[in-house]
Amino acid sequence: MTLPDVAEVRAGARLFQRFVASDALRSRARTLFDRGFQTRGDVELNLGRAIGELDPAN
Amino acid sequence: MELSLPTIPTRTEGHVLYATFSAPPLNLIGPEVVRDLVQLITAVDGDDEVRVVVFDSADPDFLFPHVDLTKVAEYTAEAGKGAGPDDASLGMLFRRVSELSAITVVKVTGRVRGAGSEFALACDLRYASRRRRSGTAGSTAPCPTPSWTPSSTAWRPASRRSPQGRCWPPRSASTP
Repeated sequence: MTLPDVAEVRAGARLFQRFVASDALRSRARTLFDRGFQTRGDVELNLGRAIGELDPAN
Repeated sequence: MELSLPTIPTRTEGHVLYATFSAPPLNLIGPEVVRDLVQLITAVDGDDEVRVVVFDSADPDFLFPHVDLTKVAEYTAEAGKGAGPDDASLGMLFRRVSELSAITVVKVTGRVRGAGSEFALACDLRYASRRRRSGTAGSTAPCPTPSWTPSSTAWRPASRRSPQGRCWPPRSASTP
């Protein structure tokens, strides 16, 4: 039995909600959306590369 | 079992329910997919005749690439309908998948990332194509979370029956 503890799942959900509201994510996501994020194309087909090309200071 | 789910067409053969994710253009995890997944889980949970659920994707390039970042509030609200208002999250919804009495199988082709990866890990068995691309996007920005996956448990095998998180080639998935 390897299911995570419920408290751990809830904590992860809270962290995610904080993260999606953070300036860090919003800034990076905005750049990705400008490049085609969430549309069928190169960014989604090669998302790891697209994220790697983001300015790390952004 | 008769289900009418716009983004998850289903068919039943004997005690096996086949469920195909079909939410063009990318199979993003958005409110419609979550709504239908909640209905499917609820239906399976109350039907002893369904002993196996086999998930796959209508799109060979994408099983679940990630959540729809433009509709986080909307899909979270839908998830809450399945897990309860105090547990409105994909993590808790996927936990219900893990707790189903029916055996859950997912045939993974194409991209499965972030919450999509968590869904696959919540299933009991995962059959992965060589075309599978899985992952989670880590953040290099100084922020309090290590990644943008909804749960820090993303890479912990969540299945009761496959604690090693093993993957088998998809050919062997034809006779679950």
